[in-house]
Amino acid sequence: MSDATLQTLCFVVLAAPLLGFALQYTLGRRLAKGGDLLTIGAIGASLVCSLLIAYEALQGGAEFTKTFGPWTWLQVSETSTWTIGITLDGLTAVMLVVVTLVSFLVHVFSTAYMKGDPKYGLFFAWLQLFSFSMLVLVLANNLLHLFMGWELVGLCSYKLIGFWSEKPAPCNAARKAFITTRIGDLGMMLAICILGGAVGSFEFEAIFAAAARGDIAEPWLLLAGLGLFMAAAGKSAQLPLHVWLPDAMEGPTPVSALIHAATMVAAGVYLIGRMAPMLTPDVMVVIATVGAMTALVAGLIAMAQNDIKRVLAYSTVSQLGYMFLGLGVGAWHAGLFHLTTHAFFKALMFLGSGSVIHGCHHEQDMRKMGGLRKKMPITAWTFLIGVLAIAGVPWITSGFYSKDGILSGAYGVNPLLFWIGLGGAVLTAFYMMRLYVMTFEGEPRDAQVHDHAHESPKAMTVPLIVLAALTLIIGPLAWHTLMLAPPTGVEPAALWATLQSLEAEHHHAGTVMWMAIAAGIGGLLLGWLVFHTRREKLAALKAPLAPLENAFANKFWFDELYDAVLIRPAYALGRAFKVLDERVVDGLVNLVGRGGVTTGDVSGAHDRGVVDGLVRAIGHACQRLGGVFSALQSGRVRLYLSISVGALALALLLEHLL
Amino acid sequence: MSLAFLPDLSGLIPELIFYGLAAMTVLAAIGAAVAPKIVHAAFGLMAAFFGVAGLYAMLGADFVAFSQIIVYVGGILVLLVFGVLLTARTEASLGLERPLRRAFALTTGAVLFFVLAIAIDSTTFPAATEASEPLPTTSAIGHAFLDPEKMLIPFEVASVLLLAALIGAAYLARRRRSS
Amino acid sequence: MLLAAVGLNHYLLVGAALFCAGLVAVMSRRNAVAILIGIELMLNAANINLVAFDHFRAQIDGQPVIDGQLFVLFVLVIAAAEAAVALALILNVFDTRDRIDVDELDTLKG
Repeated sequence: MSDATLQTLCFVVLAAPLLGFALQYTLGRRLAKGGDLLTIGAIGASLVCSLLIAYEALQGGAEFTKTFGPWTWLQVSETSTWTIGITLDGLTAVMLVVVTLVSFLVHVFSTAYMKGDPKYGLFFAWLQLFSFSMLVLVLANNLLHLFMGWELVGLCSYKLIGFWSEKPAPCNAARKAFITTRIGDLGMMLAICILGGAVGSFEFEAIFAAAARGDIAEPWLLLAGLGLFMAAAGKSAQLPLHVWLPDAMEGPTPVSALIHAATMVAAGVYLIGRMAPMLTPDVMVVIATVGAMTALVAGLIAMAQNDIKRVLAYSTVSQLGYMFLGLGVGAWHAGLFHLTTHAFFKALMFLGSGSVIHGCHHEQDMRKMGGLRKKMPITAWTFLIGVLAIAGVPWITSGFYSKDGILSGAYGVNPLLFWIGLGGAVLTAFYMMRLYVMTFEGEPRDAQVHDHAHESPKAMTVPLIVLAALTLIIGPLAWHTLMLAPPTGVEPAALWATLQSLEAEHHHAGTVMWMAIAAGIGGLLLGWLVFHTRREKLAALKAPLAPLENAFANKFWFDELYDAVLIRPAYALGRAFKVLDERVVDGLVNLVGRGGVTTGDVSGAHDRGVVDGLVRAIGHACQRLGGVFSALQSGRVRLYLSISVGALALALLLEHLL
Repeated sequence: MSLAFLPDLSGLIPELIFYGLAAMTVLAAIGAAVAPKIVHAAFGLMAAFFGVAGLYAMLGADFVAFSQIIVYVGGILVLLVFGVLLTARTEASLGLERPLRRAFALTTGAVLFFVLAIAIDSTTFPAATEASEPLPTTSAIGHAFLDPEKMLIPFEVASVLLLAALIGAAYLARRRRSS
Repeated sequence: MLLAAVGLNHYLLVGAALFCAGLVAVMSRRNAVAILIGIELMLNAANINLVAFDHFRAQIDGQPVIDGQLFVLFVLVIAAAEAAVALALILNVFDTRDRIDVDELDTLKG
């Protein structure tokens, strides 16, 4: 395939959803079936082109890198230009396929899930814009271009979380998501300014080359790396900016699957993976530590949640933590591979939960479910595949390959990080089994919900089956053929590089793999035993564990902490200023006013006697004269204007004619 | 199939873009001036703003073009639309024009444009012998604004003005307590 | 030929047309917001002239000329301030009188 063809394919990938958005947003209501076929066609075209690009990238192997552009959009000075451009390499190709494929399936799923919604067409329009924005982000070849996509996905996320804007909860959740990620974006802007100032270009290649040559001073490089990670932490919901993601579950479930599981939240991971060559070892340590902590803390919280979507949300936070852990310890491949596999199995589980919610008539509380497997077999079986994958059941599921890679990487670098990661793996398997058992197995707990439950229509089950199949085959298939080339140019750091080669040798051999397998299976079995076989014993366990459960159920009081430390002081400050304003400023103004009145009184007495007589005489004369002009002085400023402009036009016309 | 019978217009692309933009701007402006519904007038104004931004870009004033979009479309127009929405409660507040006055305004406007057009047409401005690519100015603008020798003082004064306008607008627009 | 090379005159003509459109709006409208729209159009007309003069000066001099563009940016600032204050006034008037017809605002008449 020639370069020109590839470039055209890239343009089609971008243009199809953008065009879809424009048409759907303007004409969607008038199209047949609310325009869903149009948008599915658009994202389908994008998907086909992405697959062609990915095929080409696979042919090209690890060395495959293409750059199109740059095209200038702002010429700042003779030497500095701001550009946009496209980079195609293995990482981009993988991301393209993930984004378009999941988006396509979510579109299909939504035709059934959103059926009958008054804003049905609008929903698809925003899905299209989101897909476009995500593709812009993925294809960017410079930071500024990437930042545009970065902010656009944030906007779409805001619109889609708050899609049911007539209810207050989604609106609050949307605002929270937008503002929290915005805090992280501050870091991104900082990094862009630092790198742009030091390098004179925003292009990745130029930045990496400058970092390799040592053109950027060490503290600035550190600061830029931390800024980028801050942005990634905001977007990918890492501690302590993770609070928005669980609340984002107020949005429609297909949105949760697309944006808050598979693609947008992975953008932070993608950013760190893309910028890896310029990150200093200190930044890598921060990334690995934050990732490991997030994996553990989110896993603990997930154990005590009862809303099916919130469990999945915390699980997403936890899995994103794993990805950062992988990137931080230098297991670059494994981290990004986990992004890919997680996109598929988490989208599968979210859509599965959407199917459950749909089947149970918008019931999301797991305590009211149970025994649903007989009612909705396809959903249950595909969901089980997702659970096995996230637990990392060996050899057949994709989660095993990626999670094992991350843990191996951590093992070689720092035992503490490894044990935290392993603990998180046990938790993951445990709470996922709890979720599955509470929803699909055992006796129905709420007769009303159970009686009315039904399997979802084909438009929902077919995407589930496709995703389940992908979850099973992508791991074994892709692990050895994946065309991800590690970033060239600078090695992340000499230390990490040697460990990376160690990691490669150890792969799929030795103790780490068996420990990972034991963690996954052990967690699953424990979950099955506790929540299915030995239900009656659970009550006895409950009392001593109550304080722990309380801590988990309250999400470690993160929201309360922020409320106390940030939000309340802000309000208090506002109130203090109000008081200051009322007491001090108003008081001063009143004082000055009263002084003026007193002076006026004194001079008034003088005026009345002497001056008034004179003034009255003059005034009387003026009034007569004024009466003549008062017809013109109507107070209508526009009339004055009309008269003067008319006169001017007339004068100019006469001057010209004469 | 060959399209050779069509005249080659590729050399005229800048001219075509200019005429397109100019037509859009002027038509939108006229729409904004005479549209019977105030919301339509606001949208006409938006199209005119975009057209003007396009003209700036054609003149090589990239930064001004972006500022135009950000400040006019993003700021002032949004403010205007707010004003429209907040005050368009009743039919009576529409303020439909009286036909006579409207005719007078249209005639005056047309005459003034006619005179101005003749004046512009009859003036010969000095022109470059050959047109060159527009030179980038963004960086120069940035330096000029922060150079004490040039525009730093006006720049700071402008920011104080904006602050004053902000406070003044907030003060004026707050709701009076009913007393 | 119809499509003559675009020169300064063309831009000035666009500016003049925009200015007259704004003037018509200010003269004929009674709604205060519509008058504000007219004023914005007139400001834009002036800005087009400033940038156009700048550009063609630069063509003659062969180096960037930014004085006009700086003026335009200041006009932008003033326009923003003016729009904010004007709309605050309009809201105030609307609050007290329930309509924004400027012809009725003649309390100051002599």
